[in-house]
Amino acid sequence: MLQQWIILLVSFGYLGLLFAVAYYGDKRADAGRSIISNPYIYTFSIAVYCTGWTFYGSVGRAASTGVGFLPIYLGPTLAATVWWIVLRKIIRLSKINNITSIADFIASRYGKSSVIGGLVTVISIVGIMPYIALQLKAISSSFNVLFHHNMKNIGQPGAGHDTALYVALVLAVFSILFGTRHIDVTERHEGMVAAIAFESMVKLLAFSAVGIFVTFTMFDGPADLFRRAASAPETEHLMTMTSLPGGYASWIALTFISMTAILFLPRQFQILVVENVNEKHVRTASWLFPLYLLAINLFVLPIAFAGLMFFHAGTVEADMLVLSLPLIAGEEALALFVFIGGLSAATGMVIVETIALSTMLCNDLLMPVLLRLKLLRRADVGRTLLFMRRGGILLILLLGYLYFRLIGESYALVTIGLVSFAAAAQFAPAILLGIYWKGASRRGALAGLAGGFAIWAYTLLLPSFARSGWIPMSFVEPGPFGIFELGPYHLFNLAGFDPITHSVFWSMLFNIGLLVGVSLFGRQEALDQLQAAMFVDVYKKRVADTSNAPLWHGKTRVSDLKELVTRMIGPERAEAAFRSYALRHSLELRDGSLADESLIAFAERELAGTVGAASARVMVSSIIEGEALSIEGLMKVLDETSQVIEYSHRLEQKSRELEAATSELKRTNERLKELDRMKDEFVSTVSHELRTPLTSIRAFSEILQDDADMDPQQRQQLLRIVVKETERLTRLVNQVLDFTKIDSGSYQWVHEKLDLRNVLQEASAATSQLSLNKNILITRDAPQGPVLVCGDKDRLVQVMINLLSNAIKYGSPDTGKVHIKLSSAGEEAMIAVIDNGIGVEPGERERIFERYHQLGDLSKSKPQGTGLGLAICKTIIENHNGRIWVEDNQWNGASFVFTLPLLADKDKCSQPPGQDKEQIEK
Amino acid sequence: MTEPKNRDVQPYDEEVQQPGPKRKGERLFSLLIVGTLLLNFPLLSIFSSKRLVCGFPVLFLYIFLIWGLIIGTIVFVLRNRPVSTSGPAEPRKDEDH
Repeated sequence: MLQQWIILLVSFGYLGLLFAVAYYGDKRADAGRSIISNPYIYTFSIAVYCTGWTFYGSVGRAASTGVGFLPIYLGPTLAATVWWIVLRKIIRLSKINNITSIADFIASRYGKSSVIGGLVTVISIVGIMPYIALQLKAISSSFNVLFHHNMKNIGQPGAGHDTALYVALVLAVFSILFGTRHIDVTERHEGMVAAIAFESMVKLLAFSAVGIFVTFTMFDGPADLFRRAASAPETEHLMTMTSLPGGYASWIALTFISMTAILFLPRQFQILVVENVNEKHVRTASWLFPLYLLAINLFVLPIAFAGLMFFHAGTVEADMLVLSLPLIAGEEALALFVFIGGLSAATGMVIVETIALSTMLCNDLLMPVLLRLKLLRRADVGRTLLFMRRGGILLILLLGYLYFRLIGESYALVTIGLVSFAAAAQFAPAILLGIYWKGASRRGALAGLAGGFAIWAYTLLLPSFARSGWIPMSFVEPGPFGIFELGPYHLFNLAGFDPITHSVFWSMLFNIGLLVGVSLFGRQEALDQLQAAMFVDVYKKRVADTSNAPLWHGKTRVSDLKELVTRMIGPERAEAAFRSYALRHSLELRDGSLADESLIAFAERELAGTVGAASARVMVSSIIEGEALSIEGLMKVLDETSQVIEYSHRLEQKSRELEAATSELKRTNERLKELDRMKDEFVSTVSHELRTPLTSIRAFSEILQDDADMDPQQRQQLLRIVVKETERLTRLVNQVLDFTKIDSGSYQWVHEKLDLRNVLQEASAATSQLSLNKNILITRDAPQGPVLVCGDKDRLVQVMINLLSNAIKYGSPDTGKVHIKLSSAGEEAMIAVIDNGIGVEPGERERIFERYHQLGDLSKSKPQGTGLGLAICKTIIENHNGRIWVEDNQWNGASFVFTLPLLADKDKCSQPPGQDKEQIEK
Repeated sequence: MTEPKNRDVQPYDEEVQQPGPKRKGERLFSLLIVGTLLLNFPLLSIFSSKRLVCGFPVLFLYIFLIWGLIIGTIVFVLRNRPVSTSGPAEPRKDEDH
């Protein structure tokens, strides 16, 4: 005899054990030695898919449809074949974006739209409501079966209402304890995952135990069981496909919705994606999870057949056969274990589902609204969040209870569950198209989800209300307002399907049709486009890099950002997060300074991990001044072509730079060649110049040596020539030395105050003999007063002598004339040497001041100078801060002009101009 | 506390760059299609009979066999193959991630 207190004690004892497992999981996680970071724990936690529906409902369904319970498990098996491709991509995306729920994921993909997030949340809560009702029904029914067994009213309906309410309340408390224990709200719950994995093992063991018991104890193995079933009238029709209501179409529809349900039921998404520790675990889960499903379904048909053969039709609720069989055999301990297995299956689902849904309710529905209304300004947002989540869990369970009260009696477990599956299937197009097709737009997703949800509600939810009496039955049959074509079970006259298949067909048609159609014919907004590119191309390195792209353009302070994050995730975690960011980017975050784009993006991602992408976006934009979305950031990700264009731009610019550098190099090379040529010429000129006097000196000296008795007059003449040639040689060597000295900067400048008139005087005197020789007239024009400058007198005289001797050299004998003009204008003294010689070609005027440059064609005539004279002049004048140039004059000759800065009377020539530090130090 | 560590995201998938995974994807998608065909009309209707084979209903046997076959194929396709020829490269691979 099972007393009520024993059942309750064992139940609560089991829940306590679960709590201990969860507590241990959390402790290990806090210590950094996660127990759930393990592919097997991950796989077992995925088995939260098998709920009270699987545990009790499968047998119930098998008892009426044979293999009809199987599509629910074959679908996930088929889906698992591509997990490695699809699920892994979803996990990767979720980790990059700190995704907290399926609503968050879809909202994130479609431009972080809070409208989409809200819609997905509403669909989830309304859609999952029947599913939670199913668990309440399973637990309360099983409890009643167990409890009332000895009272001989097995499976009597109607006794479960109060039990279900208590169950709901206990589960609410339990879920709150599991999911929202901490004040810091995070999306991951290691302890919960550990407990769920544990529950999955318990339910598999319990179900297998009863299966083995029935097959091998009540019958002599499977062969005996099936042989007897094949000949029993209650079971023989269940051996084929003919017992399946809706036939093959239903089979296909169920396979399809369970394929989507395994990924897109909110709790499956929570476990598979959000709680995933390492995406490598998908590898093991891909085969181990289908194996789990196979194992837990192995004994469904034997139990169902055995149940049908043992109990007369109608005496026992088919859904409770799992429990009734051990009871009828008197195995109360086994029955209690089975009850615990069923409790495991149902509580596991309720815990994960309510936590997932309350996270969505809080992050994607309440938060955006509160943010919009600016109701969330208080400092302790973390506690508000926690409160909202706890309230959410309670609310969802009470909604489930309400639905149970409404329709609980009129449906079998599986039928209730399928309604929820069909709702979860609505997410499939938005997610699957969203991660593989960039064109899927926010408006398209919104239209598709809304359309699919509306059809689902119309064809499945409303009829279930009608059965409960809320809506008159005439709404279902023949249809609203008596219009048959609008009947929810044969919409637009589509007949021949069972209600689920019918609903799946229409809702998918509208869902996919609207999503694709609106996307194709509408426009995508910027952020939408950006997220689309990021989601589809997540594996490409470039896009992965730009997940941190500076998308924020506005300004905000580091302290503001920090405060915002602190309010959401608590001071310790916020501090740690910012510190690790600063470390990673090796920079110092000062509170007062402006936050850069990548820091803002980082803060947004941190927030998204707590409140969801859409809310995080609203929050961050609330403290950002200026434009929220940077166009550069957008372009960076969006337009692949823009990258190519930018690249080719850069290439073009580079090639232009290269061209410029090449021509510059060419010019320099030309110049170098020219200089080299000039130097060669100079060397040959100098050698020539040196050789000429040397030759004559040698020749005359030899004559003097050989001819001892030469007439003294002739001897004297020869000696004069020798002396003159020696002087020329000395002059030449001096010039070369001077030039090298000045040019190399080692010349010791003497600076004194001097009158330029004296310079002219001296230079004219020095060249008077030359001019007399060629009979060239030199005239002079100078002001009355002194023209004072600061300079090296000897050098300035040298400049004048050079210029004068050039003028005489290039002047024609007898007719040549040279005029020297000294004037002062403003702050400059100007001296011009004007001749009527051969003049200087305009093209040569710059170059004659270059060293080694000779006037005239060297190949035709003998050079007349060293090519250094004017270069020396230029160096000297520039050293005095003056300028020198050549110009035309009225005599068709050349005018060499130079200027020097004037010195006022009273000024001293202490700091001579043009003398640089180096020379002072010397 | 372990969270930040677990949350570390690899910037891109090195496996995408290996020659194998594309093959892997093709094999997995083919398996999905073949599996869907095997577990559907019309093939199922062939086995929709009351006959017992080895003491099991033939439909039950067929579905569970195909089911097991699919699982086996997933294991085969996703088996942990060392990328390089040297054995010890395998354990190191996990640390790299």
